[in-house]
Amino acid sequence: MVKEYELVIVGAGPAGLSAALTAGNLGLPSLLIDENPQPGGQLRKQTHKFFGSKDLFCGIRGFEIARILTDAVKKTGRVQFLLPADAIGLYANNTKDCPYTLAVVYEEKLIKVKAKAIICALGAQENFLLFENNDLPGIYGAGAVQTLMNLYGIRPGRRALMVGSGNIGLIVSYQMLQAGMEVAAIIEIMPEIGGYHCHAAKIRRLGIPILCSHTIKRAEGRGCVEEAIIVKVDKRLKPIKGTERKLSVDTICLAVGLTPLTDLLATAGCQILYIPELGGFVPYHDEDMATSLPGLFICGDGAGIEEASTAILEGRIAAGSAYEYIMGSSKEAEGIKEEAKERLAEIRESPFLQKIKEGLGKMSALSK
Amino acid sequence: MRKANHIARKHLRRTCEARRATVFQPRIAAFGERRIAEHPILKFKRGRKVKFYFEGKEMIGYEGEPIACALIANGIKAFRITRQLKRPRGFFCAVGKCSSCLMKVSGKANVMVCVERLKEGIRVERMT
Repeated sequence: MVKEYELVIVGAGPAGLSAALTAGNLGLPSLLIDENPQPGGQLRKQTHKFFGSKDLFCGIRGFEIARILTDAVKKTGRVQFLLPADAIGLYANNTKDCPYTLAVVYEEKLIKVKAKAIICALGAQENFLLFENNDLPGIYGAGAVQTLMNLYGIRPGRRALMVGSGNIGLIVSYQMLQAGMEVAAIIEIMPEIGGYHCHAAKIRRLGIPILCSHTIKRAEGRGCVEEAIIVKVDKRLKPIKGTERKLSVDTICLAVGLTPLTDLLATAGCQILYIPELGGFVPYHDEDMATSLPGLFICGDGAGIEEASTAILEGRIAAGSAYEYIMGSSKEAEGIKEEAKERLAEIRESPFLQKIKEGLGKMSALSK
Repeated sequence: MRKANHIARKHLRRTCEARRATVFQPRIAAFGERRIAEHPILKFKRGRKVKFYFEGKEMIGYEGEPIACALIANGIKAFRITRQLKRPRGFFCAVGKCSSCLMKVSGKANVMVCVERLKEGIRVERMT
């Protein structure tokens, strides 16, 4: 089966939904696909209120933002949803009128989707951590714990250790408390807490220790996690002998960063660069969110690990660029792009996002 | 070097085999023990209750939830035993990326149970 669309958006998280909304408002017939049965991506697992500015949904809880965005996209009447569908390959055909073919598995059948332009909002995958017995059942990624608790209402265990104090580590720890679990401690290898202090304060007020300069040495247990051994580290992040401590936990949750998903873009032949500040291997993209291949755009965490608010802005830029690529230059699309770019620059002034700015600087230097 | 590796592996296999007894007989959680009954913010829409089988044992889950979730709700943490070193593996990424949760479902091998949905009467087994 072959289907043809003007624009295909892969991934229905905050970036993909925002791109679909912008494309829909501009009147571009597009297709939105995602591997999950419901749109929203990671937003659906967030129970906390977001902050920032009003049009970026401040004061609204993550799972509600997912619903609001989805409803807005449906209201445009121009976007077709294909869920759950796996995009397994992306091929550049080199023909003028329809340059891309996307291989999609839908209801256990392979569908070929042809498009003039593609926006990839692929998101990211979680990093893993090396330590003894790290394969024991009971060791989860933070995303898995969120899926279990916030989508399906199941507690992964009784008492947990959180590894990593970035925003994800802090937020998921709070969510575990909301779900009725105990959190033994949050450990962080760096000397300072990685995430926003308002999230850290919420955790500390409840008496949960956040141990900086600590890392996990070993997990122990018969058949599943029963104990975690943590250890203090020195300035060079080397474990200090004799500072080991045993924590009795049945769940170890890893929140040690994310890596952009690039496999689909790599199959199409995009230029991919290694930039640690953006999360590792990242597809090259310019200010307009265009990759090294014409007509292929990216946005969200797949273009460098950031936040939901910047993902929404990047989605707008990508959709504006895709519209201009298909329909020729337009004032409306240009206006949307300019505004989003300004806002993005504003948000990236935050001291928490200086790394992103450095990374993007490196990207433009490396591609030359 | 090769011989040393061989001995190390043999030793590891033996210790792992000693552990297997506990792996194969997990404590089955009572129904609802691991389910969140009340949440300060979220409300959970659950499908109808259905029966399914894990290693021949009857269990209860909600239709439409991932099989892995139903297993965890029933207290099952080890989803498979690795082929060479016989180590238990459980749930990790929950989004069909990591292959830690491959199981046999109604005779079909290598099913990612973290994304495959629960249906009435399915037979879920560990692969070894």
